[in-house]
Amino acid sequence: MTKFSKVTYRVGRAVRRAALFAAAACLAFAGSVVAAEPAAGIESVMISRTGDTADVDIRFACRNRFLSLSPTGPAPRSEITLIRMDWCANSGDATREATRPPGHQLAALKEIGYTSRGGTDAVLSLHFDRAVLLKIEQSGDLHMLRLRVHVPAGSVPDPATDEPFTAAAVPIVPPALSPEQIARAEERARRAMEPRPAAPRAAADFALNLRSAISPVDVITEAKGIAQSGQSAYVSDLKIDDQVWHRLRLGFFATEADANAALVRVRSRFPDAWVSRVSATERRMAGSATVEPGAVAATPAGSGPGTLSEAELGKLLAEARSAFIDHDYPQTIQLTVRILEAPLHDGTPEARELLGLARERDGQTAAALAEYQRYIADYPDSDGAVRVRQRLAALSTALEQPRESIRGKADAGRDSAWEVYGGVSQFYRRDSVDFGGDSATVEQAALFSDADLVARYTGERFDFGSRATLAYTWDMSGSEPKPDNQTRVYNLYTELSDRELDVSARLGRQTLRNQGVLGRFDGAILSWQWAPDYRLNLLAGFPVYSSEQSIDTDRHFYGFSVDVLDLLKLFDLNLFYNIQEVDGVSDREAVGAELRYFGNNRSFITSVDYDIAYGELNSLVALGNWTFDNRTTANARFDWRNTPYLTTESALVGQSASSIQGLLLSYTEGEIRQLALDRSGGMHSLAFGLARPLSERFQISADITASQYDATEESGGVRETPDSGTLIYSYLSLIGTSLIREGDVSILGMRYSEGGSSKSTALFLDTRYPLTQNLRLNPKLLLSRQEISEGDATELLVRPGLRVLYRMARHFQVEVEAGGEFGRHDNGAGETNDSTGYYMYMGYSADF
Amino acid sequence: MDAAGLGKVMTGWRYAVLATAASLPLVSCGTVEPDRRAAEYLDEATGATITRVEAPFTFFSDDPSRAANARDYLDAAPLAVNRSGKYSWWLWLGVWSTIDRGVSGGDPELAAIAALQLMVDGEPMELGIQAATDRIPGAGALPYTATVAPATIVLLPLTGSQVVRLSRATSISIRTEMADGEVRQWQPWARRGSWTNFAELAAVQSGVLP
Repeated sequence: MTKFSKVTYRVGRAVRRAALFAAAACLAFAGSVVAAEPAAGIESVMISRTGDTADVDIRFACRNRFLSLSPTGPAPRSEITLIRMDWCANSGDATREATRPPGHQLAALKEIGYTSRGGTDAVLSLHFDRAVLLKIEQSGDLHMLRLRVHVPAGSVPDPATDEPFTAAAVPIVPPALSPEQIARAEERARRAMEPRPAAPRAAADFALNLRSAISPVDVITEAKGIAQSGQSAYVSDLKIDDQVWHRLRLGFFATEADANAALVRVRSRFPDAWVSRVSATERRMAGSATVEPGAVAATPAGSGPGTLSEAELGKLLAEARSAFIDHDYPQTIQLTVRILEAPLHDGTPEARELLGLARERDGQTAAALAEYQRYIADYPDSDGAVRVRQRLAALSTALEQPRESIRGKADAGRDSAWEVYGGVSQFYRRDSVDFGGDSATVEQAALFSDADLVARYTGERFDFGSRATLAYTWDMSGSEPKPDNQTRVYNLYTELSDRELDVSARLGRQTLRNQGVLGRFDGAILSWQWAPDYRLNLLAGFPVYSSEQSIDTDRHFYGFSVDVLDLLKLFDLNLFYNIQEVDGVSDREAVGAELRYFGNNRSFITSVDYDIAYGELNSLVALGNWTFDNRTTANARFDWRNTPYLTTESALVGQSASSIQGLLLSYTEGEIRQLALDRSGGMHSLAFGLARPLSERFQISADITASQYDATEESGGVRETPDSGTLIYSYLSLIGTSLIREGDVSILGMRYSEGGSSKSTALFLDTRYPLTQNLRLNPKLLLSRQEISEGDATELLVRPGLRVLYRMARHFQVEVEAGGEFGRHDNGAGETNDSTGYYMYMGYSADF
Repeated sequence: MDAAGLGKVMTGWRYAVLATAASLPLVSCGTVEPDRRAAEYLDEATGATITRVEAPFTFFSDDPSRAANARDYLDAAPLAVNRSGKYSWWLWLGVWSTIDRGVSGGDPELAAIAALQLMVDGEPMELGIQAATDRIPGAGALPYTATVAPATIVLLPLTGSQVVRLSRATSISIRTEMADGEVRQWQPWARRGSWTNFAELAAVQSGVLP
C-alpha cells in the first residue's frame, strides 16, 4: 500500500469518526472532565450479605443498561446482557475482563466476567459455586447494577459447579451381572452371614502391619491392649538402602480372613494398617520380641522408654522437627510422645511445645490446650513461655462461645472478627497493527498490575472497614519522549459505623454516582439513619477526574441528601442538594431526586438532576423492567441528558486554557458560563428490549435504541457541532447453555447501527467451554461491515480471538488471550487497504 | 526420588489401584473417568471370575551405565480372581527391556527380581517375591500382556487390605532388588489406560474387602 493511500485512509477514517461521533467525542471529553479513565468495564464490586441474601453491587466505568438475564431460574452460571450507553474511551474495541472480587464468598460467587465486543453490547458473566437465584436491580444512572443473590440456607459449594461434563457426574454402574454371577454373589452373602467353623490349625502365614517408622518403635506402649489370645505384637526390621525400617506387627493368623477381623479391631488406632503375608523366618524371629496379651514382655533392647540415651533423644527430637516441617503431624505427635516419656532432659521443653503445636495443627485443639498449659506449668519462665502463652490465649479465644449481641436476635451470629481479603493480578497486553508496507505499529504494550485489599472488622457495636484499590501500568511500548507509566489509585478509604447510634462515615478516595456526586472523589460521607426508614447523608470532597491524580483542591463540592426508604411501602426515594466550585467559581449547584420501585418481577427507576445555578435540566432518566409469567422480560428506557454534563468546567472544551483560572484571564465569569452552556448539548434516547427463554438451553434477546445528539453552538473559537440526526442501534442475540458440555455458554449475535453518515452491521459468536475442572476455552469471532456514505467507503473487519483460562489452584488462575483483526478498507475510489492487527495478553490473578 | 518424580508416581498410582467405599471419595473427586471402568469377565476355562483393569501401568528404570536412551520397563496391573466366592488378589508384573545387555559381553537378560517393595506414602510394603508365580491358581489365561512380547511375567499375591491401603495412598513408588545385587527405582512412564474402580467393582461384587 502506498503512503498516499495510507494517509488517505487515515484522514478518511478520522473524518468518519469525527462525523459520526462528534457528540460522543464531547461526551468522551466530558468523561475526562468527570473521571478520565482508561477503558474498563467493571470499576468496582462491593459485596455484602444479610441473612441468605447477598448484594453484589457492580459499578461500571460506563453506563450499562440491563437487558436480560439468562437463565432466570436458580443456576450456578448466569449471563446478563447489557447495552453500553456511553462511548467510553476505546469503546470501539472489544474488551474483556474477569474478576474475583473481595468478599466473593459472601455471595457464593467465584468470578465475574465483563465482555464488550466493541460497540454497544456487553455481557456480564457470573459464575457461582452453587445454584443461586438472582434478582437484578439497576441504579438510575446506569452505572451500577445490584445483584441480589439468594443463597439457599444451609447450601454448600457444589463441586460439580467446577466441573464440565465429566464422568465423575455419571453414576458408576457396574456392568450387568449374569445369573451365574448373581447366584455366586448371593451364596457369598449367605456365607458371610454364617458363623465361621473352626478351621484346622495351619501355618500362620499372615500378620498385621500396624505401622512402620525409621525411629525405634516402643512395642510395649504402642501395642498395649491389642494382642488377643494366640496373638503377639512384635517389631520386624527391614533394611532398605541404608535405612532400617521398624515395623510394628501383630501376628500370626492362619487366614487372611482372620487377619481382616483383627484389622477391623485395631484400625481406629492404626488407620493405615494392612494384612501382610509373612515368611517363616519372620515368624521365627518374631518370638524374640513379642508382647503376649495382658503382659509386659521384654522388648528388643533399646526400644524401652528408659533406655534412650541423650543422643538418641536428640535424634528423635530432630526427626520430630523434620516431621513437623513436612506437615506430618501424626508422626510428630508419636515422636514427641516418645521423647516425653523419657526422664527429663534438655529437649523436654521443646518436645512439649512441639507436641502442642502438632496437636493444634492436627485439629486436636483441646489436647493442644492441655499441652500448652502443661508447658506453662512446668516452664513458666522459659524462653518459650511467652509465645506458648500467646498460643494458649489464641486457642482459648477460638474455643470461647461467641458473646450474645446486645442488640438481640436480629444480630445473632455476629462475631467480633477481622476479615482481610483481596486480590492481585498482573497482565501483559500487546496490540499491534500493520497497514501493509511499513512495519507494524505497536499501539499498546504494557504490563497492568492491580491490587485490591479489603480489611473489615465486625464488632459488637462498631464495624470498621477499609479498602485500597491500586493499579500500576508499566508502558513497555517504547513511547517517546518517555514511557507512559501510570500509577492509579481507584479506592483508598476507611469507614466506620456505629450500630448503636446508626451513624457511619467513610473517608478517603471513593466513588459515588448519585446523590448529586458525579463520580470519584477524595472526601467524606457521613450518614445518620435517624429513623428506620430515613437517612441523612452529608457529603464533601474534591472531585477526582483521573485516578492518576492526587488530591486536587482546585475544585470541591459539598452537599447533603436524604434517603426515604419504603415510602408508601412501595418506593425508595433519594433527594439531594449539591454545590460544586472550581477555582473559586460556581461549577454546579444541583438539586435532584431518584425514585426506585422494586416489586415482584418488575422494577422502575426515575431520576432527575436540575442545575439551579444554570437553570437547566441536566438529566431526566426513566427505566423500567418487567418479567412476565412466561419468563419474557421487557424493558424500556427514556434518557434525556446534557452531554457533557453541564458544569462550568465544560467551558474548557476546545480551549487552550487548562483551568478555569486560566480562562478567567480571557473571559468573564458570565462569558465562561455561556461557553459551558454552548458546549453542552442534549442527548435523547429511547430504548426497548425483550428477552425470552426459548427452551431450557436457549434464550433470545433483542434491543433497539434510538438516540439523537443536539447541535452545539459555535463560540469561543470552538466550532459548532451539527445535529447528529437519529442514530439507531439494534441488537439481537441467541444464547445457548450446556449445548455440548455442561456449563458451556454460546452467544450468537448480530447488531446493526445506522445514523449520521454511516451504517454498520456486525455478526459475532462468543463461546465458552469448560474443558476440564480447571481449564476453560473461550473462542470468539466478530465479523463487521461498515459503510460510510461520504465517499462510499466501506470497511470490513474480521476479528477472531481465543482466550484460555486455567485455574492452577483454588485462588490462582492464569489467563492467555490472543486474537487478531483483519481489515479491508475501501475508500470508495477504488483504492483498498488491508490492515492486520494482533493482540495478546497474558497474566495471572490471585485472591486471598 | 525427587519431588517431580514422586508427583508423577503419585499421579500414576492414584489411578492404579482403588478399593471399597474408603476409596470412593477418590473416585468421585473427578480424578478418574468412570466410563473407563474396571472390567469383570468369566474365565470360561476355569469358571473363575476375573476382575481386571483396562491396561497395565508402565514404569521404567534408567541404566545410564549401559544405555543413554534405552531403558528397562516394568508393567504392573492388579487382578482379582473369584473362584466360587473365594477371592484372591494379585499384582501382575511384566518386566522387559530395550537395553541390549549382550553388546557389552555381559548377561543379555535382565536380572530377576529378588525383592520388591512398594513405597506407600513413604512406608515400605514388602511383597514377598518368594510367593511369586507365573500363573494364578484356578485361573486360565491372564488378561494382560506386556508391552513387549518377550517379557518376564511375575504375579505377586496381595491381600485385600493391601489393595485398600494402596488405593488410599497419595504416593507410591516401586523399589526392586535384582538378583545381581543391583537396586532399581522405578518411575511411571506412561499410562496407556486408566485403572478405575477396580477394587470398587470387586468390592461391590465380593463384599470381602475390609
